[in-house]
Amino acid sequence: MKKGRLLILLGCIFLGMLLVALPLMAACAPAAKVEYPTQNIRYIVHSKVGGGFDVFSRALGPYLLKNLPRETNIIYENISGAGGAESYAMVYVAKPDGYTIGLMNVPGASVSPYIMPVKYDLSKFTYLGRGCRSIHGLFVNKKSPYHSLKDLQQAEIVKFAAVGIASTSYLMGIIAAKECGFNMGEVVQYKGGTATITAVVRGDTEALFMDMDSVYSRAKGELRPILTLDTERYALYPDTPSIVELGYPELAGLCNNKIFYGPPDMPAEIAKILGDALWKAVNDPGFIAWGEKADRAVRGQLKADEARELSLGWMQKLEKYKDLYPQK
Amino acid sequence: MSQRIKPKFWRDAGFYFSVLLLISVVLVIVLSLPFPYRAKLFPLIVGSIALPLIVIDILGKISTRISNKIGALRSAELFDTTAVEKYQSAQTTQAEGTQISYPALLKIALWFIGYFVLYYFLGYLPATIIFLFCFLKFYAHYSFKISAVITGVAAIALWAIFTVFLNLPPIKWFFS
Amino acid sequence: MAEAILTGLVETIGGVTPIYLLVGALLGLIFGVLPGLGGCACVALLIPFTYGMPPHQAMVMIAAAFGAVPFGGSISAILLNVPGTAPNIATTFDGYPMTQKGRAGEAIGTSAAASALGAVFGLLILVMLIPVVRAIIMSFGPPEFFMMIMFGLVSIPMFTRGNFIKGLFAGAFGLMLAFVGFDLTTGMLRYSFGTLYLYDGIKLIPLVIGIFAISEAINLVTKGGTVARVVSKHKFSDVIEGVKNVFRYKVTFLRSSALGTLIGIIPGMGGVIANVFAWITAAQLSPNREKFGTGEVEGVVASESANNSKDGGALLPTLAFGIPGSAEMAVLLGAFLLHGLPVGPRMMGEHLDIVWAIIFALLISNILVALIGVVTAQHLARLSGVRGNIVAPIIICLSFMGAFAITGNPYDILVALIFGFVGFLMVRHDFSRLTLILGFVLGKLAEESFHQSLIMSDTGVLIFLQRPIAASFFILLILLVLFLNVILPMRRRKARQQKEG
Repeated sequence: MKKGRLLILLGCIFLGMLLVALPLMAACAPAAKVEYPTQNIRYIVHSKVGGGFDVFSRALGPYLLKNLPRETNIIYENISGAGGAESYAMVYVAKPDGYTIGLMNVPGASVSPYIMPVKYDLSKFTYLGRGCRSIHGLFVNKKSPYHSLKDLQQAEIVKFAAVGIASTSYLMGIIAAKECGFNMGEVVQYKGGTATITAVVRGDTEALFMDMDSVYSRAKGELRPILTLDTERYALYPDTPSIVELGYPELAGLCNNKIFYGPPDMPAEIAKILGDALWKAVNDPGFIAWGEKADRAVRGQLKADEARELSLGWMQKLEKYKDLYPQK
Repeated sequence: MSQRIKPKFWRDAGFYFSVLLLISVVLVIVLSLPFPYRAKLFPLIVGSIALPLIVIDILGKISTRISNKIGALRSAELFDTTAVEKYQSAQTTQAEGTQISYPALLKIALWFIGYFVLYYFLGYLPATIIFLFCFLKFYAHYSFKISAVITGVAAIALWAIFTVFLNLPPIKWFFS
Repeated sequence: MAEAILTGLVETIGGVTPIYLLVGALLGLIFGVLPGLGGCACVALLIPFTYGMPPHQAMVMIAAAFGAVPFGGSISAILLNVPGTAPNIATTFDGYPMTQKGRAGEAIGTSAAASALGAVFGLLILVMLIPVVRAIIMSFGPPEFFMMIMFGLVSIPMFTRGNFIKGLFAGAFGLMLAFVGFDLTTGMLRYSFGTLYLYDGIKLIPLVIGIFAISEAINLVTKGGTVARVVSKHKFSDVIEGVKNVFRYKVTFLRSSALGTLIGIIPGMGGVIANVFAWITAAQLSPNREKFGTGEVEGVVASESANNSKDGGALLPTLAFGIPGSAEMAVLLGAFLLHGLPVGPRMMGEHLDIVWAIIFALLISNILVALIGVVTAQHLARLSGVRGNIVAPIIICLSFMGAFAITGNPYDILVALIFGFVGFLMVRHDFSRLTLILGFVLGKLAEESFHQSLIMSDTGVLIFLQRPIAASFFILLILLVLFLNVILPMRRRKARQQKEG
């Protein structure tokens, strides 16, 4: 064989061995630190722009970016179909590479499977933490004859308003009605929290369960609070008894939860990086200060595993109450 | 006044369109029957208004005597003959405005459906570029240069607005 | 108060803020023109952009943006029969026929003037009504909504041009389309055929884009030729004629602006209803009512003045109570929150200067884009002379984008496409698209408010007669039905008898 051709042949064999050997070497090398994030993160919000969850997420953005190990951007996508079910379904099938995350409403997401054909399984999501929880209360029109839970229990029927059958306010209503023993009758459904609050202020309906912060900023003085769904009294409504004082401690957990989540099977290291960054962000004094200024107090921050337990807990709770929903 | 000779009703495409609408109405009514009372109230009311209307329309296409009577029903002037003439002349002028052959319509439909399919699999930018260029060149028969220029300008404008401003992903990655 | 007004004015026109105002206005104009986008999308885009800005500057920019959107939407409504935003629907009813008759410049001129003056009117009313806004909001509940909607539904037969039976059927069909999806009051999922997509029902924007824009594109392709069926020289004097039209139809203008403002104030009634209602009412009360829908300029005056005055009206509950008067206002409230501004009564108490800055920004932006419109109208009008073969695919591309861009759901495009063909066939076979859209828009709210009223009521159906405003609407309704079906035909018959005698 000519010398040149021999050299070429040897070169090819060497290259071939290199190509085979290198990946093997990489696999045997000690696990390199995972490089995250290296591109923009998609943050899926399940409501339209301007909604409570949306504003929360956007205000959080800078604090989240501050706490991630590398510089990146957050791109918000508002997918508001089917009361959120579409956005949860979208995240469910997204690639679990850490570049798609979202904010979920629990128990909103837990209720959806009972009333519509959903394409996600809540138990399989990767939970990253809880950003905030609401404090809900029972309010009545200030001109109504009801001043306490007892009054409601003794009334024949109390006309309730709710934000639609898939909503948290409706869920709380039916659970509370069942456990505390008052008669809700048929609930008038409205589109949007504000329309529901206005309806009770107007006197079209008598009562509603609602986020106490929302009522405070929109209808302070117009609605009379009857009880607070929490373990203790709420500072904004110091004269309103808590549900624990009234003797129903098991209802103290009824609230809206803003839960960060990602697609199923996210790699543990990335989930940890995100979880830690989110935890630091929601506890950042700057973010908490924003919450106070905007009448949207940030409270109840939880880490990833506790958030997961919360969501699974709701799934179990709803099994108990599912007959109260119209069957699919 | 020259009367246009009306084609036999089974040749009139309008007849089939009306039949399609009739089927939709019947579907709405039938599907609503198992609903609880409150959920079926409005659909049934509206359905029971829509059903006789579309039936009368179809009957009118089948028989000219009925269609004359219908024309007179307009504005509740049952026995006013001038209303009938007005109606008949209105019919002829309206319909003549939009003559089209259905094979041509099918061709257009296929072009647009093709665009949608491209959209679904490729994302908006490649789909729009391909569709716009091909449509201008092969359907509308403009020259290569004009088609390319219009496509280029449109693509850049859309990209500027929808990707730069609105962060809409221009090209669908196959794993997303 | 005077101090707040002055501070607000200075905030709007002082420093760099005018630049942001201009940018906001131009952005709003573009978003208005592009079908499917609109106020909500524009403000949504601006919110993150304004993040570091001082609140008053951010609010000026945002207010300028959504102030410019309605006029932008009217441009595509007039030139292409594509409502740039859903609240521009009624402008297509008479604006596009005007373009087809070669009067596009005049139409745009009319729209510009009606839009700007309508906005001014709306803002004036806003300022005057602040003391009584609470009373207004508190008086309008589901029974009142229902009666108002019925008032609109009953006038549908009036707009059936040509074939009465078909027009009425189209209205009923539109109503049926509105029933698809999840029903709020019963918790029933209707006509969704098991799909999650139809859970929310048929969405307005893809429907409108399909029935008007895509069907028009199909029409242009099959017909050949140009949009305008009449070749005409587009002169600046046409545009000025258009502007003068608003003054010619003063009463219509004032009435439509008042109606638009009122509907804007009522939370729950959106821009589409304002636009359509004003047009319906103008048609009902005008001596030229038969011409409405064929290029009657009074129709453009009515729809555009209502469309813009509604923003002034919608600001009222938004600023005073944190109750959004329309969908764009809900996004504005989100912007407030993001900038740490209070939502609710505290806004007017603590930040009156920003409230005035928003009002001034809205005012200036409306006038600005109207001027831009007037100056460019004759050139824009030339677009109606471009060959259909070029305009049509561009409309298709814009339609697809419009249907897709907001939700990112490709099935919205499919819906638009399907209704594009349905719309085309409807025109071909003499079914009115106008009544279908009327039925659709009014249908959803009608059923919802009807059932809400019944659930609320202790007396069943009598609730509609027990509440004074609802009862008044009911009486007006009866009068309208009598007028349209008994008095008008009698008058016509008498006129004809006199002619023959």
